[in-house]
Amino acid sequence: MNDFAGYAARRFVQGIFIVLAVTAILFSIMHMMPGDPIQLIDSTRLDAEAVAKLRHKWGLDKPAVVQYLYWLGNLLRGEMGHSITNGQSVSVLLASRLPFTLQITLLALLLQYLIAVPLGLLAGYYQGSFFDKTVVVITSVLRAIPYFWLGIILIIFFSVYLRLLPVSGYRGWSSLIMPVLTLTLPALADTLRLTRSEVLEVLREKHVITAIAKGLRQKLVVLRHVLRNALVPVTVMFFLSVPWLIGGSVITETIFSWPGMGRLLWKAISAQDFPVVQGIVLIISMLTVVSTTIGDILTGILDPRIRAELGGKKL
Amino acid sequence: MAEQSTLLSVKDLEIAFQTPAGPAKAVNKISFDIKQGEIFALVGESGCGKSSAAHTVMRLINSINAPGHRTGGSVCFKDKDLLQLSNDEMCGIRGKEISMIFQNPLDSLNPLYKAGYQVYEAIVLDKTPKIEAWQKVESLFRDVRISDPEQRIYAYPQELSGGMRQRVMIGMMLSRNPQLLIADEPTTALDVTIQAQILDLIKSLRDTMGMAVWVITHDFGIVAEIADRVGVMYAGVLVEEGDVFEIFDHPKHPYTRMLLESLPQGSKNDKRLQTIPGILPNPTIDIRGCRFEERCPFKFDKCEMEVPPMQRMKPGHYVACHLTSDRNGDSAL
Repeated sequence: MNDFAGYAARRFVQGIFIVLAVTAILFSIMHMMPGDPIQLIDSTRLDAEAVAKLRHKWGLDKPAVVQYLYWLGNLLRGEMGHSITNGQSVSVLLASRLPFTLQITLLALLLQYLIAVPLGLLAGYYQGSFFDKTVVVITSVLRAIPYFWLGIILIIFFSVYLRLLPVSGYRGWSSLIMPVLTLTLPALADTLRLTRSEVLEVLREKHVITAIAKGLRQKLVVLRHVLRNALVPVTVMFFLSVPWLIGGSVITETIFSWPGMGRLLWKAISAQDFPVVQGIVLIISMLTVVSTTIGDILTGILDPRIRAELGGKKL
Repeated sequence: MAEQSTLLSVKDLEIAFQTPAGPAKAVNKISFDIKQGEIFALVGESGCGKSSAAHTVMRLINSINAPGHRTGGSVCFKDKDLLQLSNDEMCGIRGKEISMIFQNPLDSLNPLYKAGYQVYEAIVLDKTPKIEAWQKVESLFRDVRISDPEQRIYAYPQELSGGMRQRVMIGMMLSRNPQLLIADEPTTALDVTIQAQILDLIKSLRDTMGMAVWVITHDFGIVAEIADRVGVMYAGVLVEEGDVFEIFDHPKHPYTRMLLESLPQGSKNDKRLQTIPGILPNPTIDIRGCRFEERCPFKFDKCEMEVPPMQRMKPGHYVACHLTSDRNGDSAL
């Protein structure tokens, strides 16, 4: 187990370097893009001198490497800079937007697994039944649906046609329903299929026959020896899917004018607002690294074979 | 051993599996009895249906591992026909009255649970208190001669060797004192020295616990080492059945004789090893006569036309062959 704790520590250190690499790559991409935020604000009304002054004020006249190091240095002091478009502190901006994004992504993730795991288990266990076939067809349809199309269809149906839910923005709990559904449904299909195929695979393993042969009742066999084993890869997928969900939230938040980080990112990229984009990407890459690291460590906790392997202990 | 009462009585057992080429009869009306406390060996080559028969008795063949299978006949265990029991009733039989160990101990245990827990899981089915159950796990590990049982109960299956895992399986399957242990090729996946240890263990546990053992094997060496009585199976039918000494000394069915001749004899015999030419008949095709006819060097007209009935040669020795029934004084025998 100590070896495994060592592995977890190594993963954590690795994670820090990954976050650094991601921000560095993003910084260079942003600076390779033509134009800069000052031009985008109101370049027609400013003379060359004023532009140069502004560029100097925001540090844009320095080489990209120096700018990146400044940004890193400030970050270590807990300072993420200010938005170029409106001068707001990036950390304050993010702190106000992040809860909205977490709200819909976490709800969507939870809902997705609460629906997908039991249905996947049943579909796998009753493979070939009418229920299984229905589930397979529905998931094939669901996984082909893009977020933006689903969002628009939901708006047309629930807001325009039925007039039940608010079209966009944040007006209490009813506003959550459509964004959460938009994020849940396409992702649901993959999780359900994964659970189903894992259950099918475990059902064919010999140790399930052993469990039956020693006299365990069907329910216990299914829960303890089939579902438990099938859940190892499903749990990992849960954590690996966090980045995808955040990616989906950029589109979803834009469709529903959801006041979260995704929409902020979309706007910041359009305005080439470097500090805001950098701040959001930092948060996203941190969330990604943390959740995949948790996922990897959790596999080791759930599966002693992987734990032994990761701990470097030869079997 | 004194004459004992019948524990398991298999009558006209039939099993057919669904295959793309149509239903395949894996087992075709076999009948035999297993008496209390005896070791009965069912011998036959791979694919002859011996393992299917055992899995059917345990009702382990289901719609998941064999969709569309059919069974016929009866399997009476202490006056209950196992094939007619409900799933719930069968749960009460498995592990408690009849239990089973399998061919490959490497994947017979769940890799996610500690070896001891998997045995514990069986013991607590009998409402044994927790502490007592764990004590029983440890003493079982000792009974099946696992070294350092105190530590090994906390080991995961993949941390144990194949022989060790088969010992855990034996301990698990005997933990609820069943009256019959089915051992489906229990040593096939193990190396030779471990094989002998496991067979020795099964035999000595039979002597101390008194359960009957039904061993399924393709290896006459194992039969010689462990069995009291033998049934020889070929292509889904039982061709000969008898006391182990009788079968080894006076085999009657050509298949049994050829099987015994194909055993390596050690250094005293430097002849080429005998083989049986040909392969098992296709199980999807109905055969009118004797199933061994195609490969039998002694076949005559009748073999192709009629199924040979099982006939008594001596008390306790049965053979299904036209040679012994109709051609009295045939020179081949």
